[in-house]
Amino acid sequence: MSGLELIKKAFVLQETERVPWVPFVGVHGAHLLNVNAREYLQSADWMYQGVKASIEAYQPDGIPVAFDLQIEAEALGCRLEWSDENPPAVVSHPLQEGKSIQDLEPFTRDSGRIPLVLETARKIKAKYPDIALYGLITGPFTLALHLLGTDIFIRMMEDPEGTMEILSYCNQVATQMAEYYMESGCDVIAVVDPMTSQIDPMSFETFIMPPVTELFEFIRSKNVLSSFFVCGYAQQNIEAMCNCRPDNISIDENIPLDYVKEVTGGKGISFGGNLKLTLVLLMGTPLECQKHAWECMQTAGKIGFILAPGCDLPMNTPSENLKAITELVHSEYQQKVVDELQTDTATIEPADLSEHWQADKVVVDVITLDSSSCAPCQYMVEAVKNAADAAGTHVVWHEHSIKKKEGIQMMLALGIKSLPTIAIEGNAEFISNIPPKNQLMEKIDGYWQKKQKQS
Amino acid sequence: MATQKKIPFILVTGFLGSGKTTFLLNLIRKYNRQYKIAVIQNEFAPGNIDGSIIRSEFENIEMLEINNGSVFCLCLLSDFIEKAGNFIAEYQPDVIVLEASGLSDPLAIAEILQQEPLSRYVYLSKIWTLVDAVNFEKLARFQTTIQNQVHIAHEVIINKIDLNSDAADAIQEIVKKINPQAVIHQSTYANAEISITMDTIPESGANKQQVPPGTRPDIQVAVYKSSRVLDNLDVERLVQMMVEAEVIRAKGYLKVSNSTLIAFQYSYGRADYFPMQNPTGRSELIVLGGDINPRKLKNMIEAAQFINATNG
Repeated sequence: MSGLELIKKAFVLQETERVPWVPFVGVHGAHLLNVNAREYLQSADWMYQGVKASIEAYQPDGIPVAFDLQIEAEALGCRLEWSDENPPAVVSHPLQEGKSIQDLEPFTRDSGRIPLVLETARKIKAKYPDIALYGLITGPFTLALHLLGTDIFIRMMEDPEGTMEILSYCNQVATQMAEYYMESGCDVIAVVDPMTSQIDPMSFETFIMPPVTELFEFIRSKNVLSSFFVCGYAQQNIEAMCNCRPDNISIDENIPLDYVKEVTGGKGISFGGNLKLTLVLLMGTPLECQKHAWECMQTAGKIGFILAPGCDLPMNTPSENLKAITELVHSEYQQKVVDELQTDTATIEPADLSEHWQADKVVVDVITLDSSSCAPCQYMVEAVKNAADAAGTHVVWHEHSIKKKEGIQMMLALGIKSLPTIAIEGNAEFISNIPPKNQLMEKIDGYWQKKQKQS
Repeated sequence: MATQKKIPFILVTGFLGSGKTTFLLNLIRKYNRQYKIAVIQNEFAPGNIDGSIIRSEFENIEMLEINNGSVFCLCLLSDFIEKAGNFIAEYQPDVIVLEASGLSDPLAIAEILQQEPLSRYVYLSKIWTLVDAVNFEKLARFQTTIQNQVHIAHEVIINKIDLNSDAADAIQEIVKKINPQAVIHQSTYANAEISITMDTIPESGANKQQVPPGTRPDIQVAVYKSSRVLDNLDVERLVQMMVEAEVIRAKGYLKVSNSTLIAFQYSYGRADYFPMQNPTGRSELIVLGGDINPRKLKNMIEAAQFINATNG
């Protein structure tokens, strides 16, 4: 089943054979190409190449064209400050500076960088028709903040009708942007409105719900799927967001996944999220990422859930972390491994290796899930056994299954990150890769020669 | 073995226009000779392009501007971590003050500070929140971030009181309802009697750290945040565990049932806690100690739940 079909199934709350995976690649695409965010977001070719590289590296079921909530604001005349490692920031707010809505630049498919993202969308869709392509548009409240600055909060109190007028205008812009993305081949329109986290449910219902409900209705009328993205501590507004009738709600780590599952489930809406951006994806190890993703997958289940980061991936998120999640999503075997490791390894002491090494022997350790129940582990153990038997008495080998505490202790002591792995004299030599007998024997012999020289 | 000297990190929050920059200027004037202060600004304020307000008065203050947009989104915290880490490592100040964006969530920043790499250099010492007497009553009704900023503050400064003196008592009452344990100041021109104090680990106790003369011990910070109900939580037992773990200070809220949120404060062995009038919100606790980390704090809370459950 293609990624697009999987996402469509999840959106209508049908059980999926595996959880769909949508890495929100924005300027991380620039990182993959080794260019800066400034150049990346101003070139249709770079954006296309970045998304292409991400699709090849992370095998996603869906992917955004771009993740830049400043595109519409820039097109309307807001000044941007560019950065090498982040999307640009809006630094001028025309409606705060005395302009009226009528004074703003006309918003068309030719404004600002809109032609670039539309061209990118068309090229990606042509190359990858089976992947769900997400067009991300700036939600009306966030666009209103760009246009008016933080004065919008005072304006909401002092001039509710004027605020409604601005939000209605921003919604019109969002509707046009949604239309442009749909024409360019996007399968999902995601309305990204992080500002929603800033207000209480009553204000949300008064100011945001009426225009956004219309927006989702418009997207539905075009037979395109929709999602409502929020980041920040917006738990208070999840129910009201569901009442705007999107097909999906996507959240970040500030909101517990089980809470969102319960609320969206009750409303017949699918949900997604909420991989931790900074502490896990950016700063964690591949194994930590897998454990965390597995926790999300277990909490969410296989009905109506899309695994995704909480928001735009930090530019320098290590590729190996996202590849580890890709592996977890696609491999039931890896899911079993991570499930076994879900025991809190931080409370387990690494094995004491002082008695483990032998002066007159090469020590080979095979760290496995369990060779009696896992085929790759079984073949790896057999390969080691055959090579060790052939090599002679100067080789000893041990299997350490992580189903036992001893196995986890050994894994920690040897610093092994993936399973199964063959370590020779404490060095991880073959990681998830079963070597031919000759290659393994050569490796062992190398260690043996070295050992003899030392003695 | 010499312990690494960690730098107290003070978080100054408040809505745009509440007087954070003026407050910072006052603070620097007061402590500039006593401490080497470094300032991180993450706020777009008209007229304060490139931190010019502070730089124009204090040439010797080390400043870092992180102007990549108002940080209300976690997407942008990674940039903060890297830049702040390099800045602190380079200048090694005595105190760091962060003027956070008016839209930022203080607890999200606290969580970043408790993790490597920033936890190597700094510990979150205090959260000070400014509110603007002119707009606060209106804004606090619906702007949840302002409520969150007041909710988690150690001290709240109600500023510009001269411009709305009739409402001073009413504003103070609203602040108290949101955060009954905060120290509240009323001020004009952000002039409040607020002090920078250096936290110390108690000299007594089994876990006493061996600290060379002239250095401060290594203070750790842990943040706990959860929307789940802490069923069967024995708060008294939690306090005992904090005493045993030589916690220095703790402040926050504990959601012990769907209708009970406890305001909790602990300082050097003494705790004060009571149910909030308005019980909405999640559990959030910021704990300082010589030997605390997020995992230990979580275990401590779970143990205080478990013991109560097993004792019936």
